Amino acid sequence: MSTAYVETPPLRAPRASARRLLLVEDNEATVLAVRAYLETRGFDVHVVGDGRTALTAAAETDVRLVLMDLQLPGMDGLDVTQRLRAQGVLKPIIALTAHAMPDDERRCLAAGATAYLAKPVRLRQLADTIERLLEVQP
Amino acid sequence: MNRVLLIDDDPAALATTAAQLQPLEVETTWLAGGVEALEHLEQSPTELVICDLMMPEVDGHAVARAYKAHSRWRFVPFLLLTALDSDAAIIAGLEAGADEFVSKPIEGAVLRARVRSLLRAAHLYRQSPPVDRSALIAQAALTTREREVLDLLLLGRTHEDIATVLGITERTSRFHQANLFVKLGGESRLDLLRIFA
Repeated sequence: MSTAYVETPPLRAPRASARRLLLVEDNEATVLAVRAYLETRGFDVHVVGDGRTALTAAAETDVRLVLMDLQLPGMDGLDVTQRLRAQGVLKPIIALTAHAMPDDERRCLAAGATAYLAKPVRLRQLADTIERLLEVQP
Repeated sequence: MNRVLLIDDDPAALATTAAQLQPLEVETTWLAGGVEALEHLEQSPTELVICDLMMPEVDGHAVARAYKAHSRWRFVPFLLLTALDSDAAIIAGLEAGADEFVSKPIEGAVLRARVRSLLRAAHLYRQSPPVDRSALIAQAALTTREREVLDLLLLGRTHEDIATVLGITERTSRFHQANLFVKLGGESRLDLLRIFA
């Protein structure tokens, strides 16, 4: 059944007007789902899988907003968020966390996140949150 | 019992398909559209996916691309079910990664035969002898960097992603890929997947 191995590049060519986002995430299912859905909503989604790479990628000027998973290999998402803010990166950062603890939201916001969403990610809610934050901070 | 994932934005169509599959004694899970299908990627793979093509927001092509890019769902037979039956629609569906393309309306007996055929093929594939991956890699004398690139290529990552993750340029990533093709005896990423699947 060779058709099971069809090569399927997850990225479609982004529209010229696509707004660029950075997704910092190491979970494959989340990466594929978020990327596929946000592309249909007119975003160009770049993905990095670890915190250290995210530090430089998030600071790039054409990245309008950052989606930050908290459970990352190496440096965790809260740490990355704090460092980005310390570097003077002001763009919106949406924190995503798998085990929603009562204290998570406060910790995320204290670290400098603009908004917080618990996993499993609801794609429409995520996109609506992104749209709202980009309207406030174009 | 085989589990089948049914994806369609039309509840009546879901019910029809489920009823048609009933004689096969499969367990069906229903999802109300492409967005729900993307959200379902983190669940354990079923034995088959039957997906409608024309859905708002996220269509069957996008669902097929995402499922076929996933390291585990990739191996689940994916059947696109659609009212379209033009050659262009069939080609686009298969190019998006679907394993089978069926035009509605379809006789229950024909749909069941197609489903059985896909399940049979998947079963045969699972019985094929496993590849000794570490022996292959040792034999090919891959460098550490080439192994890293290989792992990411097998996960379906783009060169852009690989470059970012490994802190190299896209050109270097492609260069490593070319060396992998030479060392492992392949001509495309598809060949790498065949070698290591």
